[in-house]
Amino acid sequence: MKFVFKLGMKNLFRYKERTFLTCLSLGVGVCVLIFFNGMLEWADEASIRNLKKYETASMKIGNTEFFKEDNYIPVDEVIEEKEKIEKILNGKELEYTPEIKFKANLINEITGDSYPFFGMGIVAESHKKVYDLDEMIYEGNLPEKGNEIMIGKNTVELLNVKVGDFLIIETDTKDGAHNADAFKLAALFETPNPEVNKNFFYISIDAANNLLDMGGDINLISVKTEQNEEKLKQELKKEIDIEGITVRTWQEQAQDYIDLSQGKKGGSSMMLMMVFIIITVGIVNTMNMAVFERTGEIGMMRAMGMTNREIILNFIYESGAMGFLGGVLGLVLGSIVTWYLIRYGLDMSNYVGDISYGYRVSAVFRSKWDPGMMITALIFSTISASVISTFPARRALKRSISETLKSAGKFG
Amino acid sequence: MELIKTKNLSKIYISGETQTKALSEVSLVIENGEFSVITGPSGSGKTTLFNLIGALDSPTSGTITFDGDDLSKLNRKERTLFRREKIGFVFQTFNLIPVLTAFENVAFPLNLLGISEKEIKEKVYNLLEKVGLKGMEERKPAALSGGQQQRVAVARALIKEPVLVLADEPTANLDSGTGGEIMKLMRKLNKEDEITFLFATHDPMVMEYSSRRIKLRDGKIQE
Repeated sequence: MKFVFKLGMKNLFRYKERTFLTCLSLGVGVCVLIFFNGMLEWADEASIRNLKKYETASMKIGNTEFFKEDNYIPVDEVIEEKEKIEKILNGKELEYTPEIKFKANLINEITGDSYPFFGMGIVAESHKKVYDLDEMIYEGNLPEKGNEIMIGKNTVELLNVKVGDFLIIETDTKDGAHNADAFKLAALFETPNPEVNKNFFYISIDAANNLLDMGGDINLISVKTEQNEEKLKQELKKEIDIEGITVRTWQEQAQDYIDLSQGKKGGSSMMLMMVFIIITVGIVNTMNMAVFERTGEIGMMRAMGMTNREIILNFIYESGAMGFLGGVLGLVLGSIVTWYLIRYGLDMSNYVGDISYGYRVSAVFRSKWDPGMMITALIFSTISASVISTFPARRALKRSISETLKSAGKFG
Repeated sequence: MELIKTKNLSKIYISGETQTKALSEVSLVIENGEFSVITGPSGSGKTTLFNLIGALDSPTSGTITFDGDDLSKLNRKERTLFRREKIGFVFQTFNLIPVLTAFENVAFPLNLLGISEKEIKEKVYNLLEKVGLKGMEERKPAALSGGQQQRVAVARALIKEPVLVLADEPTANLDSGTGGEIMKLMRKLNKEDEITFLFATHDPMVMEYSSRRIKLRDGKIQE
């Protein structure tokens, strides 16, 4: 079989230009696969990080009714027996922070422009231990007391305000009464999580308590852990054992992202399918041409006693090598693209802007090395090309030897 | 001693509803060591007879025996192995593999037979020298003249020491001088190695070299 392999390799470079173009098309296909996969892998990893660091923490504890609907925030559904819960969390040496989450309209005091937001009443000191929001503040500090407010960069642009301006927070109190108060814009942040940037503003927990007339109650406790969230949730659930109190992991809070991430698995299969189509079209075209041009040669080889298996193997080697070279080219191109994205990123802010698409990542897209996918792409490219080449070769072998010999000129 | 014997050999080609009788009741004996020519106008059945003798095709009826073995009873794989071991082909258009050198083209049938590299080297160099191509072993077909290419093709047909060489119009694409040289070469090998040669041709020069002429017309022998 060594000589069949040798012949396949010689045939590979028979039409250098065509081989190069086929390898290039396969390479581009594999590169596209590596590019998208790397970006999705990065988006996945970054989203989980950005969810936990800025939005969901590892988990949140709250009233079961409070969690019933994600967009309906019943501030009156507070945490009963919060001292007991805090004692359990302290006992487990977990970092946690109390919060008051509410819905409110933010109004520009001068223009009167008004937009709906989620307001967060926070305790600056413990918030820093659970979240990394303080590291994303580019002006001012986390609000600690009084009527001071911190908003995201997007909100600054939306409301056309600057630090020192006053914003009106208009909301409903715990008892359902309408309330509004003026807050001085004291801090600005920009996180890599666009949902937080666009939808949240922050005030101190005391200010929230006054504004919503909470009477010292809170409706959420955010918890940070490095342990397995599901396992810890079960432990906490068992230990807290208060009717109407629920522990929600970050996965449960970010169902929109989880759905998207699950869909990504289907997306990867689609991409593999797309690359398969590119390979199929490229290889089938090239091998069809090769078989067509070598019909007489195939006839001659058969006449001389080469078996159908050896002839097919000859095409498999040729095509497989083409798939391998295309795959290697794709790996090189894909690696360059991946390296560039990791190093410099791809700023898509002009295209995606503030659009929310489930991933908690900024508009500067990056990538991630995925050696598993790279090896898979190379193997996939080689095997697909090998398998596909058998079809034109088999078709040629269906013709009689004398018929194929006539294609080369004349025999007998 | 008879090498090939055909008895009432017929071949009908069917295309849709059209039936073409290419060969009709041909009975023929070719002896070992013959240097024979099959002649006849286009469409006389030369190709068909060559294809059947070379086990490239199966007859519609009749029998064809080769060294006593009935070729019509062989399956596809057995026919392939039969050709691999016993038949050498020389084609009108040389049919060399363009990506292989003269050496590699000649070595091709030996590679199929699984002969060792060392033995292949020895045999191929010897035969290329015998056919006058010493020093041209590494040249690819494109770097050889028509006559040189046909010499490579003859060497390729003979390298495995076949029982029979089937040569179709071996001189058709060559000038008369080169054609004559090729015929002399084959005649020499026929005499020296006692290999049976069977030609299909219109070329009077080839007929001159032959020891026997078999005329075909409308699928029947006129001899």
